[in-house]
Parts: sequence; C-alpha cells; structure tokens
Amino acid sequence: MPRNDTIGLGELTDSTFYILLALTEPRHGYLIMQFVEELTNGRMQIGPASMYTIIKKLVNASLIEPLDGDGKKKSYIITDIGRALLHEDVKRRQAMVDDARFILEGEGHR
Amino acid sequence: MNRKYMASWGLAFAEEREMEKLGRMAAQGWHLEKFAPLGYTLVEGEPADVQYSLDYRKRPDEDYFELFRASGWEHVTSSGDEIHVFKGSPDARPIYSDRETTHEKYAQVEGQMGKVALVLLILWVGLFILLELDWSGLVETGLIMVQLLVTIGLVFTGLPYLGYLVKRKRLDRKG
Repeated sequence: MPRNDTIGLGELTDSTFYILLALTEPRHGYLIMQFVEELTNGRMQIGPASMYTIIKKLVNASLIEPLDGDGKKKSYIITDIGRALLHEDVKRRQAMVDDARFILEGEGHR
Repeated sequence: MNRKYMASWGLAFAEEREMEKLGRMAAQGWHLEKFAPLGYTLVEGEPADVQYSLDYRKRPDEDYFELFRASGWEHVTSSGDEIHVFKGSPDARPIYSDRETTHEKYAQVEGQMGKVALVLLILWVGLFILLELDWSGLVETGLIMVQLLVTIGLVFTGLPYLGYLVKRKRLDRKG
C-alpha cells in the first residue's frame, strides 16, 4: 500500500512541506508544531499522530536526520537531500501560483 | 471504586462511534480505564468534558507520548503496545491533521490484519481438504477442533481486515 508515498515522487504534502521548512533549524517535534502554527498564523495545525508519522517517514527517506541529544525529545535537522527536495517543491508551488495569477489577474483586464 | 464494562463492536467498524460514546460516558462520570476483552473497562469519577482519540503504533518511543502530551492529549491506556487511546479537552487539535497520514494509519493495520487473515485462510482450506480424507474417529475429532479454532481466528481477523479496507477506500474517495 505505498500509494501515498509521495516523498518518493518528489512531491511534498502540505504538512511535509512545512515540517521541512521548520527543520532548516534544529527542532524537536513539539517545537516544529509551534513553529508551523506561528508561521502560518494558525492556518496549519499539525496533529501529534500526523507529526510522528511524518517525522519517521522523513528520517527513513533521509530528508531529515536526528541530532545527537540527551535521548528524550529528539531534535532533527534537514539534510542536503531534504533541502534540495524542498527547493524543488517551492518551485513547483511557485509555478502553480504563477499559473493561477496569470489566469485570475487576466480576467480583470478582459 | 465502581467499574463498568462497555462492549465494543470492533475498532475496525466502530472506532469513531465508540470514541464518541466514551466521551459521552465521561460526561456522565464514567471514564475509560483500560481495554477489556471485546470492550472497555470504565471507572466511576467526576463528570468531565473530554474527547478520546485512538492511534495504532507499534512500540512507540517516549517522544511519541511526549508529542501527544505537549499538544494536550493525555495517554489513557494501550493494548499490546500497539493500540493507544488518548484523552484531550474538547478543543484539542485532532491527532491526525491531514488525509495522507490518516490514510497511513488504516493502511498499516489493514495490511497487518490482511496478512494474518490470509495465513488463516490458507490453513482453513488445507484443513478442509484434509477432512475430506478418511481418518480414524479420534484424528477426525482433533482436526475438526483445530478447524473450529482456525475458523474463529479467521472471523476475528478477516472481518476487521474488510472493515479497514472499506474505511481506507472511503477515505481515499473523499479525497
């Protein structure tokens, strides 16, 4: 059932996108949640079960890595592969927004 | 302390309904204490306004529970270090916040159940064929007993498997 293994396809889900953004600096799970919530003004709230699932998945795909710490409350940081994928996804999302702008803003001038 | 039993129809079929019912029971002062055979044990206490959520996770580490705690979900009980129930205030954020990870929650248990059910099914067919042969009375009784056990096992894994399958398909369709 790997149908939803979108990481393999290089396309990030919205939650994964924001978690990778948060991990451009070392953070542990709950800090990631808070960071994402503040960054998006509460628009994106990631639940603990989703967060845990995604962290495991990102580690397995080597997009993030755990930092050596004092055991409890493990912190993570984005890897080079993760960063490359994030940049690619930003481009993809930017292209989508550009497309939408082109159409929607064109509408007004017709 | 007073305790009472609440029957379960099986998590594969009635997870959401039963979590909601547990919330209503807590409002009446009956709180989930632990899992019981084919159900839950509730213990009497002060009425409380709470919601319950359930997650499947094999042998999670301390960080798992810490994440829940930090986001307002208190761990209530677990079964077999794999099924975990959490209690939160009514405004606590949902434990699953996107479709992709919710899908994975069910896909994973579905796969597990499916594997066991498949093994039992093969065993059941094998026994069925064996029973067609001529056996002495004693051996035949033994085989029938084993087949009965396998049948029970098949019902308790095959039906949940189908339940999870339907649930996942429905989730996928909702998009």
